[in-house]
Amino acid sequence: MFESYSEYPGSQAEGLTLRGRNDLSFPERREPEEVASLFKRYFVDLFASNPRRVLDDGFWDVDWASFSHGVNFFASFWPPDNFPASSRIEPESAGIRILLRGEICPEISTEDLEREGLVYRVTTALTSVSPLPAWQARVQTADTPEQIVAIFRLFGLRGIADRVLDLIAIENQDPEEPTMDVTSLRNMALFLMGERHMPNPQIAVCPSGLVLCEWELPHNGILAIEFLSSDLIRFAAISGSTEDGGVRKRVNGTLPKKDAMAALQSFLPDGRT
Amino acid sequence: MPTAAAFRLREQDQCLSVNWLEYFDVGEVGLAIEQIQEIFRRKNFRLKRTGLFAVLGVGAAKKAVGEALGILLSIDHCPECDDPSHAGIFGYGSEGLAVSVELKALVTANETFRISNGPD
Repeated sequence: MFESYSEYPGSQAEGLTLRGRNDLSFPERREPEEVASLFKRYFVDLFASNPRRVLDDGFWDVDWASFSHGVNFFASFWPPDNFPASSRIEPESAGIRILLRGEICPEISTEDLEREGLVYRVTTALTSVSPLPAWQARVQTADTPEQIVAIFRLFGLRGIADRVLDLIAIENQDPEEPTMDVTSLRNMALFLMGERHMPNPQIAVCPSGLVLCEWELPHNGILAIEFLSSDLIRFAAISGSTEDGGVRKRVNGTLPKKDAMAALQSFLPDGRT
Repeated sequence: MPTAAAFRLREQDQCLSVNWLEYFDVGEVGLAIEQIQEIFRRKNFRLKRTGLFAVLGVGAAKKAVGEALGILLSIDHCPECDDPSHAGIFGYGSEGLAVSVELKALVTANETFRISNGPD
């Protein structure tokens, strides 16, 4: 799953300390295969630059409250295929048991590895520092809308995934519908994946094929963002009506995301739906 | 409700195609829209039941965009042989998302009409 490790040649290995994240736990009573599957599924972002964010997102879908007992265990580590052959990783009945020979793999500290019976706490994981979170690399290499939909699903953005699928279906049914610009869709995905605190937008395809997201703001305000085929986004926003009938604020432009977000700061909706 | 995408243009578009409802002189907006739907069907436009017609006032649209953005729109009757009520909103281009958002902001639920007898 962490093939992304090998995609970052030359990047620096760095310890990623996860100690103290006792707000997360992993259930003992899961079957090893399931545990392995969960790890593969939820830790795809191990090498992200913002582990806390990734961890929160990774556990989004897991109903932790249903587990009667968890253990203070955290191992955000799954080795790439090219991991040193002398290392072994075995699923154990209580989780993922990581057997390492630290002297051969100096990037991984063996301190604190073995704890709590069958559970191995990993306080330092092998990370490949990259400016790109793993999801970003995945989105950027996605060739088709369907692949992007799969990434949305993987990260729990089901509403957005479903809407994009609807748009694909509409396009396939009606030759008069504009063809969705995959680069624009990819840029939308990069935006929405990076701004997951924002509520789900309405999503539409413009006659040009560019993808447009629209958010309703309080009191009939509107924020619309059109994702161009370049790194720029085109945006326009109108603030909501004021009780005293004052002038509604407006902003529009075409800028790189960072600058656009700064311009839109007072318009951005918050809250995950 | 439609999004601003409904008011977007492609690079090659000269105007946003619309229809002049008063052309039909039938009194009610709903009746005029039924006539437009019939014209669209004859033009083999695919009208989905999930689609909407949104009604905007010419004066309100020009005023809103003019005041907010300083852009002077013109909304002209451009009849076509198979679509005599055809008109166009001129004065903005494919880059004009702000205009599209201003127009979308004028759309109200009371002034939208569902397509009748269309496929899902």
